[in-house]
Amino acid sequence: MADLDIEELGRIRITSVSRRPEPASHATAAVFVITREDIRRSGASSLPEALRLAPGLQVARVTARDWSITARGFAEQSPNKLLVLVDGRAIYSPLFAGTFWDVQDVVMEDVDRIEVILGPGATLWGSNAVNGVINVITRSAADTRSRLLAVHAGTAEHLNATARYGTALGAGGALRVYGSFLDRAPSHLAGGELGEDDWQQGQGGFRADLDAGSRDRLTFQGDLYAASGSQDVRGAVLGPPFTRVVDDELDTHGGNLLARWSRSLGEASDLQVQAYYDRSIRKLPSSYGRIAVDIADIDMQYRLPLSRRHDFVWGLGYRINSDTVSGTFPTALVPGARTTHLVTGFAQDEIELSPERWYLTLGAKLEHNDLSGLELQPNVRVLWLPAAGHTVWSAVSRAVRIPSRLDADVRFVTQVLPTSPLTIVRVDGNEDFESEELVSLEGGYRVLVHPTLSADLSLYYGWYDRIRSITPLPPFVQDGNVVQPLRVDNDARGHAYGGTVAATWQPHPALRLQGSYTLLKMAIQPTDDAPPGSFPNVNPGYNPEHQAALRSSLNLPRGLEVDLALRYVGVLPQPRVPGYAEADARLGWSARPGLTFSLVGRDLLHAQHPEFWSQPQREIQRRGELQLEWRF
Amino acid sequence: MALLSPGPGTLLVARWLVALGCTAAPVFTARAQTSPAAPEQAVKAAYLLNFTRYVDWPAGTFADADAPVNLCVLGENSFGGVVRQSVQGRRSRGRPIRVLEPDAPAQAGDCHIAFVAGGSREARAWLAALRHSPTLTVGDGPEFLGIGGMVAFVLVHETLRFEIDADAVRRAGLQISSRVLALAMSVSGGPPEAR
Repeated sequence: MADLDIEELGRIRITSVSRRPEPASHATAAVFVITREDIRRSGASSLPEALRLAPGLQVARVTARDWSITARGFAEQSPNKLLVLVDGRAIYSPLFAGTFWDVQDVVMEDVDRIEVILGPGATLWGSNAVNGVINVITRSAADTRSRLLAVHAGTAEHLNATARYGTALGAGGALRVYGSFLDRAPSHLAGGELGEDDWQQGQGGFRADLDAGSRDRLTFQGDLYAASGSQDVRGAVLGPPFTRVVDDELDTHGGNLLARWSRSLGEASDLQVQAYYDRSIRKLPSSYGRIAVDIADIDMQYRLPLSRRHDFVWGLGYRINSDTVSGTFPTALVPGARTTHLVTGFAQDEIELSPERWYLTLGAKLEHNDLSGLELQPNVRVLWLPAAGHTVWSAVSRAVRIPSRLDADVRFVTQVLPTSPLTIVRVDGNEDFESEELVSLEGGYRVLVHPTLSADLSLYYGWYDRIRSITPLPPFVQDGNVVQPLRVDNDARGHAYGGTVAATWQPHPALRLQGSYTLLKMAIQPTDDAPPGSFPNVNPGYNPEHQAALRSSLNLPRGLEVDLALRYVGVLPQPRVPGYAEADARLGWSARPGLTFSLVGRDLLHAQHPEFWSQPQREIQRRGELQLEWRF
Repeated sequence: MALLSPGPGTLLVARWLVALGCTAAPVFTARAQTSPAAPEQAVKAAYLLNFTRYVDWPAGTFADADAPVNLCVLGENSFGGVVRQSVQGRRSRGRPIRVLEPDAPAQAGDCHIAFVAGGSREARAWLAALRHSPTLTVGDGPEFLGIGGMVAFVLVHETLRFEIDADAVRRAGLQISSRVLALAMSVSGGPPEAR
């Protein structure tokens, strides 16, 4: 298209007048892009809130600061099969396999887009991209050379304030520096009293983008944060009353630094090298003690057109991960400190089988990690373009969730039984824990029904094997107590299938409607050779079978914007959390470019209700927020 | 691994998103012989790339021969990504092309070409900020010329064409090629200084 002469452009028939990037794109995966505009119109002041905009994601608020976010099932308090990256830096923790959503205070005003991939993406993104990948991409500093003041004040998010200063940096460079503060109120318990889950966070950071010559770009960015909040920890004790609830103070701080060099080598070729360092400290005095995690990562990727019909990309990566955990009782890691290495290489070729009709993608990633060894994660993808406005794709992939430190090394006392002598029920990590495995078959169809109406359907079936299970082992006596070990194993398997259909209709340039529906069926059982008494450590009952959403964005004269969002989440069967419908609303007024006032209401249909099981049960309240965004 | 990242790092996602190469609408590339068709945004992006090649800016606008052409997308919208993809790796008369999306009017001064999105109220404010810059402003609908814009896209029989206000172009110190003027649906204002 971009190669056409200006004379030829005037002869092209326009197929879609959508003001959005074409949804009926030619992706060979279930991909949804949450744009900057989507985020702004939703009034989302945190990453998890913005993720509710993606069809097919399961987003549930567990407490005021904890979120359960997954795709295609396997929800838990902290799901482990969804890989999350911010500007190329993995925020998925290799310590416990999951994302600490509480500390991810990304400046939403500086997010360019969030790319959400449902289903395995391990060939490109690597292990743990089993059920999906979330890529948060912030804006180039060149696009944020203004000053920004953003203040959200509300009934639950008491204050979320950000100040940012952007400036040009010499010829062709730009820098932004920001600071932010967040004060989040605790949730309410079912009885009305306050939960112990408030949160205060201060954060600062920068991003610099530099043009080094006409082909090279350099990016440097980093963040520092400190946060704390109260929490009540239910823990076992070696004596009456054997279980107690401790009011604990959670303290955390950390930072990261990233450098990236990219060189453009033409229209279909580029080279990129990226390195980052990430350190996080998390203090949980009554359970894990002090957790310190250091991660250093370097990787490169090189895209080169082998010939006119091949588009080839390959890359290499290395990551070192080092942690120390000081807790001893009720939770310890043995050994208390460990350093692991991850080496990866991948290659993928996209082959044009028949011009503008059939395309075949073959790729594989080979990884080596210290806990489970070599892992091969291949995929085959086919794209068929039967006619203009129609896209059909299908893919078969294998992806693994590699062992976390907890899987291998945890000693977690879940219960002390008042027997004589005392019986200590303890989950024991397993050095021989293997990767959990998914083989997935998926397919999709996108259609441009009309220039203003598009739809996207994706379906999948996933075979899961070597899923985490618990095996009770024979008790033994240690230090005068009976220890009942529960070993972490890989003796569960199962399947999940379902699909997502999403549609966008823009009946008028000022009105956009979007709807989606997601179906999920999931079953897990012990493997045939599982030892007696073994049980899966995955609970399908945490997942809703049905989810639906409807959003409307309306532009009115004088810079007024009205946004409505309805969502329905089906019942979580076990432990039971009732299904619910909720509504968010936003009234925005853009006084002039760069100055916007918004009034946002969230979860308006109920005074309070739970979204996910927790102990004690937290409920999410109806809440309102005033937002100011000023760029100058 | 952490291979996805902003800027060029989005390469992998970009490949999945448009899986067939660099253009936003690969089905409808130059090779398509009959009744070519494409989404409006892809055609607009291609026009913008073409405009950079047919405009002369005042002497001294660029620091040197290698300085990039700044192609801006202004206003709250998602068009910037499409433009970025369309111009990826391409050049304009030897210059690299830099796509910018300044987030406040005060930062728009270094735009050489600016696509101004949004309603007339928002567009007016951006145009006011560009009044004293040598920036070719491009927008949607004939009303864009009425509020001081220079080039306006119009839909004509399901094709995307444009109108030009030659006076406004000249006042900004720009020269636009007669090849472009000849393709315009209408050229308002006095006779342009075509090259």
